[in-house]
Amino acid sequence: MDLKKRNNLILITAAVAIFLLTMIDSISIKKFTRSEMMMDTLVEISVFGMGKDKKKLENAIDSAFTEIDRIEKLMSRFIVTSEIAEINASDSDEIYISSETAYILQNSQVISDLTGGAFDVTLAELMELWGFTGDSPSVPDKSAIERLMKHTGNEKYSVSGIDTIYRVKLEDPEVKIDLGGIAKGYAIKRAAEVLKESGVKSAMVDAGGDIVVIGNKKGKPFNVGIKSPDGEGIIGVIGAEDIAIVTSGDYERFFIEGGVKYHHIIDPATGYPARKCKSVTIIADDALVADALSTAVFVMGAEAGIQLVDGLDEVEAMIIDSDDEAHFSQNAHKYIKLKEKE
Amino acid sequence: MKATKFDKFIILLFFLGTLLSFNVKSYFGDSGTTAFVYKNGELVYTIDLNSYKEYTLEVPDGAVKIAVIDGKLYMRESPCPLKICMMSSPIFRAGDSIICVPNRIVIKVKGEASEELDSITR
Repeated sequence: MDLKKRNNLILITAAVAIFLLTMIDSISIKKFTRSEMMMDTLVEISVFGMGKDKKKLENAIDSAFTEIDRIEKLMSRFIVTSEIAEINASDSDEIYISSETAYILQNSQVISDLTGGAFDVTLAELMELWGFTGDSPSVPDKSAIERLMKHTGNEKYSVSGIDTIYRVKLEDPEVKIDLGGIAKGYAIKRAAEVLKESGVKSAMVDAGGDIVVIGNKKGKPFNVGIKSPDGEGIIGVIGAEDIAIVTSGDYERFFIEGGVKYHHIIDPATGYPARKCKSVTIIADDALVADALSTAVFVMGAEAGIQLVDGLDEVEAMIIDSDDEAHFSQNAHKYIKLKEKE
Repeated sequence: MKATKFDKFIILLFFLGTLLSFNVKSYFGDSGTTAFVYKNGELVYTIDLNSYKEYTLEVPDGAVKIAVIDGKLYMRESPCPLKICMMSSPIFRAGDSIICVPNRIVIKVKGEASEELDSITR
């Protein structure tokens, strides 16, 4: 074979190789990830899909972030233009709200009833008093806590509405709302719905450890570690497929005074940090429910918490109590694989 | 035209190269454990956790100091009010993170971990 023909053969082979490379690249499953600081935490959205769908998947991620941003602007009490800030600042005892905020407030009352008041969205003033939202938290005077406790409780507000006109009525003008225990769950739930509407089949929405998983990852469940409440590392791994996972722990926001640790999960019955648990992980098909229940079960403690969860469909729990003992709901072991102690 | 042994070798080399490039990418693309430090959403440091080094980030109220010791990353200093980031355990597994919300600093460990975690609920 002469030199010219050989060169041609090499060129054709190279072209075919490059074509194959491009083809394989476009149909191979890739991960597309973006992170943003939102809702006072890091939100990371990872989507898995074919390289050829890159633009579509990146647009889906954009839309999901836009949805989270919209919900934060609607429901954060720290954003003065939000509906919750307007309710808290209003002189009127009846305020018009969107159907979406009404939906969250109504769900908050349902979960409050279900948990005997352990879930309560009226603790905004108490959180301010403890200083968990400010720069210098400290243990407040007992009398100040008792004074504010008179203005808390989910019975202090009611929601009514017909068609698209909804109102919240404050039974106590001094009650202040904080949706911190439920709105993040709703936001990641909505972000996952937006991703699905955009055609995403495999994804993870992770807002500082509050997680929604869509589908699986290349045919296998996503692996989500459960942080150890004490010290380093993880205590178990959840095999996650089409579920939401939310954990509440006493290690996420706290201060130490007089050698005592005070964390941010306040027991609505006492006005002081709840002391029965160190961490509660809820696995549910609905992130809103998982978010609210993780806080409520933390307050209720292991015995009452497991009893509650076992009575609910599509909800599982793992609880580490204040004595470091692990408690599981009936079917939690289907999802959770405990890590062997090193 | 008849291909010589050399021609066949070259063709085979191209195809093996094409296929292997994917295997190499998928098996080794994320190897090693590395911490990524973001400030205001921008990547500012990529840290090899096998190194021994201290890093400083300027923030409005002072400086945040990060140290890597024995394969673990520690938040050593931060001017934030609650110091929760400094009380966090050192991070070293893929999926581990330290977040300092007041200073808008996020440190995430990524890479090939033995447990292959996609994230950590906390």
